[in-house]
Amino acid sequence: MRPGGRRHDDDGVFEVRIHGRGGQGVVTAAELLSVAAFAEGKDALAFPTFGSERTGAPVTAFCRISDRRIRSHEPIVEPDALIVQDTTLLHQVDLFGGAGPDAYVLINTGRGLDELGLGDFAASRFRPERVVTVAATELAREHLGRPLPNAALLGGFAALTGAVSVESVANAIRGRFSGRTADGNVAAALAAADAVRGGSVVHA
Amino acid sequence: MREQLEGSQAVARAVARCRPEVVSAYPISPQTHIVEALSDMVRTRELAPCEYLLVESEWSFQMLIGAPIARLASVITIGSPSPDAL
Repeated sequence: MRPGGRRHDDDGVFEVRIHGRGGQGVVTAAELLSVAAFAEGKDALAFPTFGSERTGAPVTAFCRISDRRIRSHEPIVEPDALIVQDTTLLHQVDLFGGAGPDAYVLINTGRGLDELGLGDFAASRFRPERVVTVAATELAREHLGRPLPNAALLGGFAALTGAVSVESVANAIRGRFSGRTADGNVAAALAAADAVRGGSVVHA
Repeated sequence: MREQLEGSQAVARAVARCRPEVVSAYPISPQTHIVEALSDMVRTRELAPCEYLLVESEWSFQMLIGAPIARLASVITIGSPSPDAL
Protein backbone atom coordinates (compact mmCIF):
# COMPACT_ATOMS: atom_id res chain seq x y z
CA MET A 1 0.00 0.00 0.00
CA ARG A 2 2.81 2.36 0.75
CA PRO A 3 6.38 2.46 -0.37
CA GLY A 4 8.21 0.55 2.26
CA GLY A 5 7.83 2.70 5.32
CA ARG A 6 8.38 1.00 8.62
CA ARG A 7 5.32 -0.37 10.25
CA HIS A 8 5.35 -0.25 13.97
CA ASP A 9 2.94 -3.10 13.98
CA ASP A 10 1.94 -5.34 11.17
CA ASP A 11 -1.60 -4.13 10.81
CA GLY A 12 -0.96 -2.43 7.50
CA VAL A 13 -2.18 0.93 8.71
CA PHE A 14 -0.25 3.99 7.57
CA GLU A 15 -0.42 6.58 10.30
CA VAL A 16 0.10 10.27 9.70
CA ARG A 17 0.36 12.94 12.35
CA ILE A 18 0.07 16.59 11.44
CA HIS A 19 1.30 19.37 13.70
CA GLY A 20 0.48 23.02 13.25
CA ARG A 21 -1.28 25.95 14.79
CA GLY A 22 -4.92 26.94 14.94
CA GLY A 23 -5.89 28.66 11.71
CA GLN A 24 -3.39 26.86 9.50
CA GLY A 25 -5.79 24.19 8.34
CA VAL A 26 -4.32 21.30 10.28
CA VAL A 27 -7.68 19.63 10.81
CA THR A 28 -8.66 20.22 7.21
CA ALA A 29 -5.37 18.75 6.01
CA ALA A 30 -5.98 15.51 7.85
CA GLU A 31 -9.52 15.35 6.51
CA LEU A 32 -8.46 16.06 2.93
CA LEU A 33 -5.81 13.37 3.17
CA SER A 34 -8.42 10.88 4.34
CA VAL A 35 -10.73 11.89 1.48
CA ALA A 36 -7.92 11.38 -1.02
CA ALA A 37 -7.15 7.93 0.37
CA PHE A 38 -10.82 6.94 0.50
CA ALA A 39 -11.22 7.94 -3.14
CA GLU A 40 -8.46 5.47 -3.93
CA GLY A 41 -10.50 2.70 -2.38
CA LYS A 42 -8.75 2.63 0.95
CA ASP A 43 -10.17 2.94 4.38
CA ALA A 44 -9.28 6.25 5.94
CA LEU A 45 -9.94 7.99 9.19
CA ALA A 46 -9.06 11.54 10.21
CA PHE A 47 -9.60 13.37 13.44
CA PRO A 48 -8.02 16.17 15.45
CA THR A 49 -7.17 16.69 19.04
CA PHE A 50 -9.07 19.45 20.72
CA GLY A 51 -6.98 21.67 22.88
CA SER A 52 -7.45 25.34 23.51
CA GLU A 53 -9.32 26.35 20.41
CA ARG A 54 -7.93 29.63 19.34
CA THR A 55 -5.91 30.90 16.46
CA GLY A 56 -2.24 30.15 16.95
CA ALA A 57 -2.65 27.43 19.55
CA PRO A 58 -0.80 24.18 18.83
CA VAL A 59 -3.06 21.75 17.00
CA THR A 60 -2.50 18.11 16.18
CA ALA A 61 -4.52 16.06 13.73
CA PHE A 62 -4.27 12.44 12.72
CA CYS A 63 -4.98 10.40 9.63
CA ARG A 64 -4.93 6.64 9.26
CA ILE A 65 -4.89 4.98 5.86
CA SER A 66 -5.30 1.26 5.31
CA ASP A 67 -6.34 -1.34 2.80
CA ARG A 68 -8.38 -2.94 5.53
CA ARG A 69 -10.93 -1.81 8.05
CA ILE A 70 -9.49 0.66 10.52
CA ARG A 71 -10.59 -0.11 14.02
CA SER A 72 -8.36 2.14 16.08
CA HIS A 73 -9.67 5.57 16.94
CA GLU A 74 -6.78 6.32 19.23
CA PRO A 75 -4.45 9.26 18.79
CA ILE A 76 -1.39 8.32 16.76
CA VAL A 77 1.63 7.89 18.99
CA GLU A 78 3.94 6.04 16.58
CA PRO A 79 3.48 7.84 13.28
CA ASP A 80 4.71 6.51 9.96
CA ALA A 81 4.77 10.06 8.68
CA LEU A 82 4.86 13.52 10.18
CA ILE A 83 3.81 16.80 8.64
CA VAL A 84 5.03 19.89 10.46
CA GLN A 85 3.14 22.95 9.32
CA ASP A 86 4.83 25.44 11.62
CA THR A 87 8.47 25.31 12.68
CA THR A 88 7.85 27.61 15.64
CA LEU A 89 6.49 24.45 17.26
CA LEU A 90 9.89 22.80 17.12
CA HIS A 91 10.84 23.62 20.66
CA GLN A 92 7.36 23.70 22.12
CA VAL A 93 5.81 20.41 21.13
CA ASP A 94 7.29 16.91 20.94
CA LEU A 95 6.85 16.86 17.19
CA PHE A 96 8.92 13.76 16.51
CA GLY A 97 7.70 11.72 19.46
CA GLY A 98 7.18 8.07 18.58
CA ALA A 99 8.40 8.40 15.00
CA GLY A 100 10.61 5.47 14.04
CA PRO A 101 13.79 5.63 11.96
CA ASP A 102 11.90 4.92 8.73
CA ALA A 103 9.28 7.59 9.28
CA TYR A 104 8.69 10.25 6.67
CA VAL A 105 9.04 13.83 7.86
CA LEU A 106 7.79 16.80 5.86
CA ILE A 107 8.50 20.22 7.31
CA ASN A 108 7.05 23.49 6.10
CA THR A 109 9.93 25.92 5.89
CA GLY A 110 11.91 27.87 3.39
CA ARG A 111 15.00 27.29 5.47
CA GLY A 112 17.29 24.31 5.59
CA LEU A 113 17.35 21.73 8.32
CA ASP A 114 20.71 22.96 9.56
CA GLU A 115 19.32 26.47 9.82
CA LEU A 116 16.51 25.08 11.92
CA GLY A 117 19.03 23.31 14.12
CA LEU A 118 17.70 19.95 12.96
CA GLY A 119 20.45 18.80 10.64
CA ASP A 120 22.31 16.45 12.95
CA PHE A 121 19.19 15.34 14.71
CA ALA A 122 17.38 14.45 11.53
CA ALA A 123 20.41 12.74 9.98
CA SER A 124 20.99 10.58 13.02
CA ARG A 125 17.41 9.69 13.69
CA PHE A 126 15.76 9.31 10.28
CA ARG A 127 16.58 8.21 6.77
CA PRO A 128 17.93 11.35 5.12
CA GLU A 129 15.90 10.99 1.94
CA ARG A 130 12.73 10.85 3.99
CA VAL A 131 13.23 14.13 5.80
CA VAL A 132 12.16 16.85 3.46
CA THR A 133 11.42 20.53 3.72
CA VAL A 134 9.16 22.47 1.42
CA ALA A 135 8.30 26.16 1.53
CA ALA A 136 4.58 25.49 1.63
CA THR A 137 3.54 28.83 3.10
CA GLU A 138 5.40 30.69 0.37
CA LEU A 139 3.85 28.45 -2.28
CA ALA A 140 0.42 29.13 -0.81
CA ARG A 141 1.06 32.86 -0.84
CA GLU A 142 2.12 32.65 -4.43
CA HIS A 143 -0.68 30.45 -5.76
CA LEU A 144 -3.51 31.05 -3.31
CA GLY A 145 -2.73 34.55 -2.14
CA ARG A 146 -3.01 33.49 1.48
CA PRO A 147 -0.45 31.95 3.84
CA LEU A 148 -2.29 28.67 4.34
CA PRO A 149 0.19 25.84 3.83
CA ASN A 150 -1.99 22.79 4.32
CA ALA A 151 -2.93 21.95 0.74
CA ALA A 152 0.58 22.54 -0.49
CA LEU A 153 1.93 20.25 2.20
CA LEU A 154 -0.45 17.51 1.15
CA GLY A 155 0.88 17.72 -2.38
CA GLY A 156 4.40 17.46 -1.04
CA PHE A 157 3.35 14.64 1.25
CA ALA A 158 1.88 12.66 -1.64
CA ALA A 159 5.08 13.10 -3.64
CA LEU A 160 7.25 12.15 -0.67
CA THR A 161 5.40 9.08 0.59
CA GLY A 162 3.27 7.79 -2.26
CA ALA A 163 0.64 6.96 0.36
CA VAL A 164 -1.85 8.73 -1.90
CA SER A 165 -1.45 10.17 -5.37
CA VAL A 166 -1.06 13.87 -5.99
CA GLU A 167 -4.09 13.63 -8.26
CA SER A 168 -6.22 12.28 -5.43
CA VAL A 169 -5.06 15.14 -3.23
CA ALA A 170 -6.03 17.59 -5.96
CA ASN A 171 -9.45 15.96 -6.31
CA ALA A 172 -9.96 16.10 -2.55
CA ILE A 173 -9.13 19.80 -2.57
CA ARG A 174 -11.57 20.41 -5.40
CA GLY A 175 -14.23 18.46 -3.52
CA ARG A 176 -13.82 20.67 -0.49
CA PHE A 177 -13.29 24.08 -2.08
CA SER A 178 -14.51 25.78 -5.20
CA GLY A 179 -13.49 28.50 -7.60
CA ARG A 180 -10.28 30.36 -7.05
CA THR A 181 -9.75 28.85 -3.61
CA ALA A 182 -9.74 25.38 -5.14
CA ASP A 183 -7.58 26.42 -8.06
CA GLY A 184 -5.05 28.16 -5.85
CA ASN A 185 -4.80 25.29 -3.39
CA VAL A 186 -4.45 22.73 -6.16
CA ALA A 187 -1.76 24.82 -7.82
CA ALA A 188 0.09 25.11 -4.52
CA ALA A 189 -0.20 21.34 -3.96
CA LEU A 190 1.13 20.56 -7.42
CA ALA A 191 3.98 23.03 -6.99
CA ALA A 192 4.93 21.48 -3.67
CA ALA A 193 4.81 18.01 -5.19
CA ASP A 194 7.07 19.19 -8.00
CA ALA A 195 9.44 20.72 -5.47
CA VAL A 196 9.64 17.47 -3.52
CA ARG A 197 10.05 15.34 -6.64
CA GLY A 198 12.45 17.72 -8.27
CA GLY A 199 14.72 17.89 -5.32
CA SER A 200 14.44 21.63 -4.83
CA VAL A 201 14.12 20.79 -1.21
CA VAL A 202 16.60 20.36 1.56
CA HIS A 203 17.38 16.89 2.79
CA ALA A 204 18.96 16.14 6.08
CA MET B 1 -21.99 2.40 -2.35
CA ARG B 2 -19.57 3.43 0.31
CA GLU B 3 -19.47 7.06 1.25
CA GLN B 4 -17.00 8.86 3.42
CA LEU B 5 -18.60 11.18 5.92
CA GLU B 6 -17.47 13.42 8.69
CA GLY B 7 -18.82 11.89 11.88
CA SER B 8 -20.74 15.05 12.68
CA GLN B 9 -22.53 14.88 9.33
CA ALA B 10 -23.50 11.29 10.04
CA VAL B 11 -24.91 12.32 13.40
CA ALA B 12 -26.85 15.16 11.79
CA ARG B 13 -28.34 12.80 9.22
CA ALA B 14 -29.31 10.35 11.92
CA VAL B 15 -30.97 13.12 13.89
CA ALA B 16 -32.85 14.30 10.82
CA ARG B 17 -34.19 10.78 10.24
CA CYS B 18 -35.76 10.97 13.67
CA ARG B 19 -37.82 13.86 12.23
CA PRO B 20 -37.56 16.28 15.14
CA GLU B 21 -40.04 19.14 15.05
CA VAL B 22 -37.81 21.37 17.13
CA VAL B 23 -34.03 21.57 17.14
CA SER B 24 -32.65 23.55 20.02
CA ALA B 25 -28.91 23.86 19.83
CA TYR B 26 -25.92 26.12 19.79
CA PRO B 27 -22.54 25.75 18.16
CA ILE B 28 -19.64 24.81 20.41
CA SER B 29 -17.03 22.08 20.08
CA PRO B 30 -17.39 19.26 19.57
CA GLN B 31 -20.94 19.69 18.28
CA THR B 32 -20.49 22.66 15.97
CA HIS B 33 -20.65 20.77 12.69
CA ILE B 34 -23.68 18.76 13.81
CA VAL B 35 -25.52 21.95 14.66
CA GLU B 36 -24.50 23.65 11.42
CA ALA B 37 -25.65 20.70 9.35
CA LEU B 38 -29.03 20.55 11.08
CA SER B 39 -29.41 24.28 10.72
CA ASP B 40 -28.80 23.92 6.97
CA MET B 41 -31.34 21.10 6.73
CA VAL B 42 -33.99 23.22 8.42
CA ARG B 43 -33.17 26.24 6.27
CA THR B 44 -33.43 24.26 3.04
CA ARG B 45 -36.52 22.45 4.34
CA GLU B 46 -34.81 19.10 3.84
CA LEU B 47 -35.88 18.71 7.45
CA ALA B 48 -39.46 19.90 7.67
CA PRO B 49 -41.65 20.68 9.41
CA CYS B 50 -39.06 21.71 11.93
CA GLU B 51 -38.11 24.83 13.79
CA TYR B 52 -34.51 25.60 14.63
CA LEU B 53 -34.02 27.48 17.87
CA LEU B 54 -30.59 28.97 18.30
CA VAL B 55 -29.89 29.18 21.99
CA GLU B 56 -26.85 30.52 23.74
CA SER B 57 -26.45 28.23 26.70
CA GLU B 58 -27.49 25.07 28.44
CA TRP B 59 -30.07 26.95 30.46
CA SER B 60 -31.74 28.47 27.44
CA PHE B 61 -32.64 24.99 26.28
CA GLN B 62 -34.80 24.45 29.24
CA MET B 63 -36.50 27.80 28.89
CA LEU B 64 -37.21 27.39 25.20
CA ILE B 65 -38.21 23.81 24.74
CA GLY B 66 -40.60 23.52 27.64
CA ALA B 67 -43.54 24.62 25.52
CA PRO B 68 -42.86 22.28 22.57
CA ILE B 69 -42.40 19.37 24.95
CA ALA B 70 -45.63 20.29 26.72
CA ARG B 71 -47.48 19.82 23.44
CA LEU B 72 -45.61 16.55 22.85
CA ALA B 73 -43.51 17.73 19.94
CA SER B 74 -40.39 15.79 19.05
CA VAL B 75 -37.48 17.81 20.29
CA ILE B 76 -33.77 17.34 19.86
CA THR B 77 -31.31 19.32 21.91
CA ILE B 78 -27.60 19.33 21.31
CA GLY B 79 -25.50 20.48 24.19
CA SER B 80 -28.15 20.21 26.86
CA PRO B 81 -26.34 19.08 30.00
CA SER B 82 -29.16 17.33 31.69
CA PRO B 83 -32.13 16.00 29.76
CA ASP B 84 -33.45 14.67 33.02
CA ALA B 85 -33.87 18.22 34.24
CA LEU B 86 -36.50 18.71 31.57
